[in-house]
Amino acid sequence: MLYWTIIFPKHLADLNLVELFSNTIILVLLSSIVLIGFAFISNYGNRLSRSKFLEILTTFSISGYAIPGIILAVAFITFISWFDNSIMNLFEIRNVKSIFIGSILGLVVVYFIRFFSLASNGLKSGYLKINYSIDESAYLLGYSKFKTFKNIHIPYLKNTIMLIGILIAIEIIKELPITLIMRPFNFETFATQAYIYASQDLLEAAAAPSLFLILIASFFILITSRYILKD
Amino acid sequence: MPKNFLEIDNVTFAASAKSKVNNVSLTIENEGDIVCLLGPSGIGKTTILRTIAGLEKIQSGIISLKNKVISSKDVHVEPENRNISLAFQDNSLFPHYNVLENIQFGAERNKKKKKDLTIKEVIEFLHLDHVKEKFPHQISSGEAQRAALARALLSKPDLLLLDEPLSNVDQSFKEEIQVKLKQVLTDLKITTIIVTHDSYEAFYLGSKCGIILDSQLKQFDDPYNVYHFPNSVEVVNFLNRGILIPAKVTGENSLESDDLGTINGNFTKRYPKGSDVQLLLQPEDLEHDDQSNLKLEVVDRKFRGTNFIYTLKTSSDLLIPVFVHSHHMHQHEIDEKFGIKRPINIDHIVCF
Repeated sequence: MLYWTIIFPKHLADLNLVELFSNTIILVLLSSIVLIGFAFISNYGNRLSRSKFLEILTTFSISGYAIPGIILAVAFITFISWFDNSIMNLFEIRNVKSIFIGSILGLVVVYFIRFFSLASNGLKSGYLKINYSIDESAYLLGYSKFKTFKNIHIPYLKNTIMLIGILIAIEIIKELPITLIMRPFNFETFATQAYIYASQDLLEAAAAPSLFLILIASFFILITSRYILKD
Repeated sequence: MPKNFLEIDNVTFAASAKSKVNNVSLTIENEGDIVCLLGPSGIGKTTILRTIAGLEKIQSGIISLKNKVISSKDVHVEPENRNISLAFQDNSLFPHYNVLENIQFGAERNKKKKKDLTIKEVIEFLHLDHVKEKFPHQISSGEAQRAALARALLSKPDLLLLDEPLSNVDQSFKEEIQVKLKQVLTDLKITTIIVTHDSYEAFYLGSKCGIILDSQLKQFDDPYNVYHFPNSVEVVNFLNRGILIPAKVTGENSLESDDLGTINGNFTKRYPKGSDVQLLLQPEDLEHDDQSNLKLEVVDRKFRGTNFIYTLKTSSDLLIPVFVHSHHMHQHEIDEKFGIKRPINIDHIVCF
């Protein structure tokens, strides 16, 4: 890939690197925030309520990782077409064609179904290291549930959060079927750009976006290994 | 409305079917009083503390603090709103903060409340100066326990609950810490409930002691009374500071034992003449006398620093403990004969 990128610099020059990079990063950031946010809600909720029902629900919600991305995307489109129409009819939205299909929102929702297990399980193992007596000590020092979460859990889990974020980022930047099917019109990432060129047999042109994809993923893997060591 | 500082009225404390203490009624009358709870492991002492702190709910009874109901069947004030501190027996320091930062968490609470105790003073008296920059995983369990105690003390609670606060602390400065802890708690008028299995610690620190046995609060009284006037055979057996020997009441102030002969003293309860009783004999009840004709065989000798506790065997194979000052020149070896001063006079005679 490096060879092709070097001997065909025109393909590299044709790439809109800034746009591809920003699109990839926007998806990574949005998805990471949503996934980690919901993983916190689910794990801390479980911790507070110790409810069996919530635990079963969480276990069910992480099963998305077992479903291939393309099946998930097609199933989502089928379901969401009906749901989208119902929402737009209910609120009489006429100036938007679709809320979820072909939007970043829809893309993030499908990423969520697919990668929630990464965030939830990662956070669960982080929480296993925090003894309940730590929470109880905080309450007895006058900390509310939220303050305990903010001042005790978050600082303690910051490495775990970073690690989960990086793992999600690596998964998302290389995720192809979901991004390809669900992305907004003309919204390309390094992965989709590489696929488009490759599907047209322009392997030399596909080399540069693929190389960037590998570089970004490698960068994240390097940081991951640093955090694993630190943790 | 209750007028006591803390009132526990007919509360059943239960964390599980095994760890359950039924129908406990207990009061702490004044702010600054220290109460100790004694009992064997797993009896539910920690559950009592956790419930008072609000970490467990109650199904029956009422707990009131400063004339406000904090726990009942219908009321449950959350732990963070009770201003009660609990120092756990196990390490409950925040693992990602060092010892000093952990202690500062305590000082952050009730910042405006005036109590003349600084972080520096607490660190000094609990011997934490050399570990204050270390993280919880880098210190010993005794140091962690003292750090948790420091944090709890500095939080200036209305009620301080200490769960085996010095169980992991080195013997070398355990006594020193006990003295200073009592001084601080008394000076600052911090009402405290201490759970411990060390009866000497409880007798020293507590103005009152509660004995928990068989899922019940068996006795709640002054330490002196708990020791000298135990109200049940179970308390005697738990404290393990004497034995019960069979005797017959022979008069208003006397009884007769087959092994020891006549024993005189004041009965704590009235018994009809001729009734058979179990007499509580504590190590300090009998006096040693080399010249006495009542000789018993020595089967064991424990050196306790200030004293020896001799275990003597009677003619009917009862094992009786006898206290002898360690300066007593004549030490008796195992199997030797040991004289008991006659007539035997016991200040207060406790029988069951």
